[in-house]
Amino acid sequence: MGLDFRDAVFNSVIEVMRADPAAVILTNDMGAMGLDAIRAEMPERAFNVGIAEQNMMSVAGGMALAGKRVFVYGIIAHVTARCFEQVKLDICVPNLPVTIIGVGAGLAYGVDGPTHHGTEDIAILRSLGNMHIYNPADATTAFAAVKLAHGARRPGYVRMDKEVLPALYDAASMDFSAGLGMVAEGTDAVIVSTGVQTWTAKAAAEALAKDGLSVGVIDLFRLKPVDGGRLAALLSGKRAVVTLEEAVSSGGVGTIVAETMADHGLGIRLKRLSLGDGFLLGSASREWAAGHCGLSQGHVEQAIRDLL
Amino acid sequence: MHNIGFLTRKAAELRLAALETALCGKKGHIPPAYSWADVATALFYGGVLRLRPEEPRWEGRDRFILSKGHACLTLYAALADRGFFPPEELSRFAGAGSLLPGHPDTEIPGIEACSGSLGHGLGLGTGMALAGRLDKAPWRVFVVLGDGECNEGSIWEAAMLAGHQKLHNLVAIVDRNRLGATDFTDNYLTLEPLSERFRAFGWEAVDTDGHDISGLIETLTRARDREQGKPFAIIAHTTKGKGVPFMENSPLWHHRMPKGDEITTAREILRARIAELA
Repeated sequence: MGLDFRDAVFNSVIEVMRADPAAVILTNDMGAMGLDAIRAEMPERAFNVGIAEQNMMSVAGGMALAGKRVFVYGIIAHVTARCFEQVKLDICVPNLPVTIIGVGAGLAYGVDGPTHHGTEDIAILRSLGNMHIYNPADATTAFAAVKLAHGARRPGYVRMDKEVLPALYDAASMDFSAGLGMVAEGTDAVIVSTGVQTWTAKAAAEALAKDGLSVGVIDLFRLKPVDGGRLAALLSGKRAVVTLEEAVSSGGVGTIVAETMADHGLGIRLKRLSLGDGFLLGSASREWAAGHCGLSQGHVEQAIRDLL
Repeated sequence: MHNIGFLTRKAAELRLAALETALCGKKGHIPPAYSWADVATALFYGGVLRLRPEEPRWEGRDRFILSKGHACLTLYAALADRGFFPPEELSRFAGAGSLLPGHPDTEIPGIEACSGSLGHGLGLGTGMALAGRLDKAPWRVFVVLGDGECNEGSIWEAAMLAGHQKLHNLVAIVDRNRLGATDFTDNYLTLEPLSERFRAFGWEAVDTDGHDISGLIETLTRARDREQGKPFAIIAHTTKGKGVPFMENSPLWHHRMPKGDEITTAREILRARIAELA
């Protein structure tokens, strides 16, 4: 059974807003069915501030300074890079309870051209102090991420995909506050992934198992802060690590894993799979880009084989 | 409320304190601090801003944002004098690890926002005013903008939203000193007709003498006490460097520091002005 990320996120937002009278939501003239439900139920707390993302972030900061807990919703490319300085100075420096919900992780809008690619957001927002970053791989995690981000009473960013996917986790038994999930156990190698690419990693590990290779999969759904000690313990003793992300090569999961290994003295062979350094012009569908940039299931399997 | 003699002397004292603060830090933007010094006097000593220095985060306070954060020397002087932090902090301005950097941040008692990257203050103020209206709060939001700062697109994004939302609880004061960092504003990007532009964005707007403290208090109080209507813009026509003639209305004087005889002259002028008003 497939679950939609947007439904999960807005179901979570509306629950939070029902419970927290100080919660409000701003959008840059973006629509979503879940947002319509919020507007219908609590119109005084839902603001369309127009197509003006710099101002939207300043307004979010101002409202938070005056006691509100603010959700901001828009397309990733527009609510991260365009208004970066407002996010930094008006939200992160004063450490305010503002949760940015971005839709269009990686190449979710790949066919819409580079204006709509969400491929640098992790790298830039990871540089901001006080910021927490969530990148869910399924609707269950997305639902939880909204609650965690709002409950943290600090700057947060929930990076949302558009795919309709089954649940990766059982919400009842999963501890989302850990920031990562061990999707598959393995003794030879580990794939560390984030977002919907975790499904590719999982499929690759299952295929490799048929050849007798024991490969684990870590879904790093909180990209900041990362519990480095916990991640290092999960990597320790393996012979190979492959990272997988639909983002530029700098600043994301590959960087996080390399940093963690360096910080904890882990000498394990590492291969980082990403979109590389640059831009994808043309209609960059996920499937095309996975083949073109080396992010397909086959590429992941080959990377593990090469390292082992 | 204080009489006009007291207020005029206070404005001169703020200018002298701003000069001494800059000299201690060996840096600072003195002329932009002087153009709005009379506006600051009206706000902080004219009974306009309702504040509790002993309780800087008092819920009922009026919110004040100096969006042109580089002009903070006057604000620091006023906050120290009003008791938000010890006056000795002024002598450590821009020092190693001291409380007061060259542009304000939110660690400083009495400061509501980090400012000095231009174009943020009106959006922050709009957000505060939206939240205040949602809570039916009695407090008001005052934002001082630079005129050069009104080159920033984000100012007009905020002006558009505040006008659309009819935020009567928001007051913007533009320090219209007609000078940017290197040149007269209208030589590189036309701002006029500035008050008409605000009106076109859904604001009530007035042009006023930014050095007439009594007039400023009257206008600011009237803007503050409205219970409905539009956001209110006051285009305060000012002179950059006001109070020290050799700094006045000169493109050379933005963040230039006085040296040697200039220091002596500036001190003498301001001290004489204070003595004359005592």
